[in-house]
Formats: sequence, structure tokens, C-alpha cells
Amino acid sequence: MSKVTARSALRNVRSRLPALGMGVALAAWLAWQGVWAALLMLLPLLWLALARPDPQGSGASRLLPAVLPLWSNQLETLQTQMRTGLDGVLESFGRMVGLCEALDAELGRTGGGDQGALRSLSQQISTQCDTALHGLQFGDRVHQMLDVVKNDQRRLEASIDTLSAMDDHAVQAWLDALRASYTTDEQHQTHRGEAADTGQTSVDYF
Amino acid sequence: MSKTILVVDDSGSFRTVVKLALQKAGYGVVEACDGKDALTKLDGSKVNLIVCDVNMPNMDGLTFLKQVKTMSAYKFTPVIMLTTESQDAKKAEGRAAGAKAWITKPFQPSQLVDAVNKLCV
Repeated sequence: MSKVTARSALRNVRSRLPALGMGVALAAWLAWQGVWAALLMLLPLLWLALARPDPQGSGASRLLPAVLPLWSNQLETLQTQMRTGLDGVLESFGRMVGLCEALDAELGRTGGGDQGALRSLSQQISTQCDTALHGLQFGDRVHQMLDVVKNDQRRLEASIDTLSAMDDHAVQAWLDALRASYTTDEQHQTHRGEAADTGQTSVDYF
Repeated sequence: MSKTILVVDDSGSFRTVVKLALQKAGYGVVEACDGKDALTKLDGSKVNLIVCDVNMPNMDGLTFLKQVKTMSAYKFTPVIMLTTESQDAKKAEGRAAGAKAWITKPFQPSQLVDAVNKLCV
């Protein structure tokens, strides 16, 4: 028997102890009172209680510990790949910015040719560089959002054994902790089920 | 001589983005990966302005900001918080701690450069 199956079986028995205890106590009392017929009727009910599959001990408690680490690993790989790609683009982009500056300097030095047209081209490249610098920040933002999802998966994985005992208050506390880890408006909007804004820059001076 | 900006962010790629934007505008950049690392960079050398993230390991941006304000050599150095945090409560905390501006990510390079130009001492 695997460790997970043994744990699940143990949880099954543990979760039924109160019901079994009451059943046995009732049976003992009926036997003491000499109500043997009632006791015979009670026995199939006791058997049903034992045979009924426990929803907590069935698939969920076996599947979740197996699936959650897989998702975490997949997210980790996704982040690594995204980071590698982003670093490459940034390195290349840094060189492009340097080339633009060199082009400007060269234009200033030589002063030849159609300077107006070349300066206009240089200005257009500079504008595109600014647009790219804005766009490149989304990789970092996605990385941050994935970190939050990964942490929540680990938290869920760590609390699997106590999920069956969670009441509404505990569920709300879990969700509140989840929400407290958000840092972006998009995360809050997504949590509320709203369409996520792609992130508008705001500047506040104090 | 170009003015020096200390950029504090735990994301290397984000520091590169900020560095490219500021260098393009003619500033020199010193990088630090969190508040603790940034404090070691404030070793008496001239820093004209600090651009700092909020959520970082080891020492977060607001704790770092409060520390900077206790350092005689840097307490008047303007600090711009550049962060994904956009909650008013956080902004108020930053303002109370002595930040001069709060810019939310993703930023437009021109907006960051405008703010740096405006506040740089």
C-alpha cells in the first residue's frame, strides 16, 4: 500500500469514528435492553456507514497532492523559459539603443546627406524603443503574477489534510490571504471576476 | 558629468528596462537587487535620485525608504517609488515615509524620465 493510500485509509477511518462510536453505543444499549430485532435492523445500517465511500478520502485527497506539484513545476518551467527569452530580447534591445545613440552622434559629426530625413528616422526608432521598453515590462509582470499562483498552490498543497475540516470562516480566511498577496490591479479584477485591465501607468507626485 | 540614479528592484530584467530608459535620457545608473543591497550602495558616493520598487525580498522598498531618511548624507535625496502596487493605502504609506512620487508599472519611459528630470537634485 502506498504512503498516500495508507494516509487516505487512515483518514477514512478517523472521519467515521464519531458515527461508528454512536452506532456501537446504540447497538450496545439495544442489546442491553434486549431489543435484538432492532439490533438486527441496525446492523445493515452500520455496514452501509462503513461501506459508503468518504468523499474526502476518495479521489480528491489522492489527486490533489499528485497534481498540485505538477502544476507548480509546469509554472516554474514556464517562468524560466519566459525569463530566458526576455533576457535575450533585453540584451539585444540594449545594443539597439546603443546603436541609435551612435547613429545620432554620427549624424551630428558628419552633417552630410539628407540630415532631416535621417533625424526623422532616428526619432521614429527612438519612439519605437520607448514602446518596446513599455511592452517588455509585461514579462516581468506575468512572472510576478505566476509567483503568486505558485505560492497559492503550495499553500493549498500544504493544507490538503485539513481541507475536510474547513468551515465557511476558514474558507473565507484562505481566500482573504490569497487576495492579500496580490500587488496588481489586474489580479484584484480577475479575482472579482471582472475583465482585467492591461495596466495603465499612473504618476502621483507628493 | 551625468547625474547618478540608484535603481532598486529585485527583478534583473526590470532593472535593465529602467536602466535603458534612464541611460537613453543621459543618466548614469547604479543597480541594487533589494533594500538591503541598496543600503550598501549608499556608501557616501553621490546619488542624485533613487528609483525604488516596493515588494522585494530581504528588505522591502518602504522599509528601505524609511532607512534612507535617517541617513544624513541621503535624507534629502528624492525617492520615486516604481511599483505594481496601486492601492491608495500603500501610496499613502509611501508619501508618509518621504517618497516624492509614485509611478505604477508598467511605466512609460517618457513618464519616468519626466519625473526624474523634475525631481533630480
